[in-house]
Amino acid sequence: MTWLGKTLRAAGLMLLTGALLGGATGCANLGVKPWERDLLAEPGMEIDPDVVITALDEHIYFSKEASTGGLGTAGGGCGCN
Amino acid sequence: MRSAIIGACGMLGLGGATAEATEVKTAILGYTEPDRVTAIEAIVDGQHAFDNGKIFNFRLVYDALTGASATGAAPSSLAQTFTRPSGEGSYRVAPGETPLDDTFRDTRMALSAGLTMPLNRVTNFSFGLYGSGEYDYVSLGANTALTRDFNQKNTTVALRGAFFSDSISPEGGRPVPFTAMPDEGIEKAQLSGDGSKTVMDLGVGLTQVLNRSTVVHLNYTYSDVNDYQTDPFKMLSVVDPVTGDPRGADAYLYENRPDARTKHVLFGRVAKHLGRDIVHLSYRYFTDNWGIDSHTFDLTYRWNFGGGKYLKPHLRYSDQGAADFHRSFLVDGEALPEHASADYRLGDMQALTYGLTHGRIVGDGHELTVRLEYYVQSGDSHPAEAIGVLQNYDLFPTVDALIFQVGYTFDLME
Amino acid sequence: MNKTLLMIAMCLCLAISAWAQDAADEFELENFAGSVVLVDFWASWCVPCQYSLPWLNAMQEKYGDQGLQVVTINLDRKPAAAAKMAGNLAEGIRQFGDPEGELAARYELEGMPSSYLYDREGQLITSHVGFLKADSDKHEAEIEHALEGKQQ
Repeated sequence: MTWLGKTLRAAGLMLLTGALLGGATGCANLGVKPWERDLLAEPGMEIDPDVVITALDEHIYFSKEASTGGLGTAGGGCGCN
Repeated sequence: MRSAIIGACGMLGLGGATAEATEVKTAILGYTEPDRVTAIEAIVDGQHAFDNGKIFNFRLVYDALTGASATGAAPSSLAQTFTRPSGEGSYRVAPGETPLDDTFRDTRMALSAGLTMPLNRVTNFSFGLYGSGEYDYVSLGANTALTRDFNQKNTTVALRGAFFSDSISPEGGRPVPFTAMPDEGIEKAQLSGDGSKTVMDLGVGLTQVLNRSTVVHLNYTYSDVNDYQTDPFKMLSVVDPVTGDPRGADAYLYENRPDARTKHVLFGRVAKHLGRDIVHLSYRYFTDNWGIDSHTFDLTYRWNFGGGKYLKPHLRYSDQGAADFHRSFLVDGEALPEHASADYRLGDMQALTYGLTHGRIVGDGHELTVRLEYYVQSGDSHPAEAIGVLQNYDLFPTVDALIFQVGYTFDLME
Repeated sequence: MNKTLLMIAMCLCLAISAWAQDAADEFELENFAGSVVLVDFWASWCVPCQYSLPWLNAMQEKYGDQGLQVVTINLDRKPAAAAKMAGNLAEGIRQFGDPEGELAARYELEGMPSSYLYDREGQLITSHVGFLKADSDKHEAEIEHALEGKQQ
């Protein structure tokens, strides 16, 4: 792994830890009222805004890289090329 | 008094469907690597919401690919001759060239369907089935999920499980690992029967609305893969410890991967509304007991022009560390490792994707998207362990690909 | 020339404001005493509301003569966003706009849409969160029952 990889790894883990801590400590205090979801309801604000692109890309990365999955349920297949 | 009814505005797309409605997403994608693989993929993804809150979804994926694929054998200062996987025919690779099997072609059809049903206003249960078939590969699977909303739907917890059973019956059979590639016309030593493998995925997810414009999602997936995971078409060169050229006899051995693989994946994503535009940032950490780990970052910026028109630049970067048993080649005279593969996909690599998607509303609320992406993957071209002539050659040639996609989404309302 | 433009602009404004909703602070349940009142909170971005509004129209048209008063409370921050959907609401429906969510907070809404059915005395009979078309017959029966109940 390159130095860039190591730096990114540290940054990524910090991001994730921060998000986990933020999520765990104050879930009950976070959020909006049911009538305040106007922006959240907009197209493009879904956690996965384009499932079709995700599915196609995951299949491509599955056949080009060794580390895949984790974004949801993956399909099978061998990706033998 | 207060009756519990599903179909109150959920935070994820599906939560809103409360009357008979069908949404269909279609896309066709072209993928091309100069000198290597060309592929076409088509997808139809449909969701039908019943007026009782149940949602049926199905997905059909077709893909066809042809072209040349790296065999794992190393380049050499000599011309090399390889027997085709079927045992009939052979192909020659010029000195200094990366050995590619240029007869690679496959067609895959995958179908999945599932049903999501509300158990009450805040709980959903879903299950689905998956099946895919290729010329030499069949995969069957089932999945289930339970999601529950808390805190006025600001918090959603999901539990997921999936199981797949795959079988492979490659042309020319499954070679006995670490046996030598035979000359043309001579049958290779084969494992009996089809290869099979099972995959079990377990996942837990948390989605949390932070404020009026921000949602975060965290996901952990455990995956357990068992039995035959070796690629029957991949091999390793056994090279002379001094010259680095293939040894005189039995110079190419079929690869051998462990039978058990346990993966852990942590995934986090933030969606943030900036008033007009929307940004998504995600990070994935992957690690497995093969020694592979990777860090993947993904960033999209949806630049909204109004009227449903947008431009969405995309950037993805992935940094992968090699499997413990990854070798660019084996050395003559040294003891065979327990497992070995020269598959470049199991090696150290960095991959970069950049792309642009344009979306616009056409007709009666239908959406048309066009996407162009460029993918480039590079690794250690000159590893320190390279011997003799191998020091002169690129042992991880850069792979790049162009991806073009057209998508069309439409609703069939009651 | 400029006058013509001004006229057109004014006409457009009038056309848009034809559906104009009353301010949230003007909403008082007592003002509808004697009627069976169905109060419905909605917003343009709420997907199930696309299905509940036509149903509210049908209820007002069918039972208005018998004393049903449908009252809608729109929660869009920018009232203009609600114009198209609100413009399709049936005559006779009383519309209020609550861009600050004051009424929504007072009612402590659990989800969108939310509806509240009151008898002619202003007593809450039932309330619903969300809208499922499959349940609309049941909701209609509740309205019929309320209308048949205590007469003035």
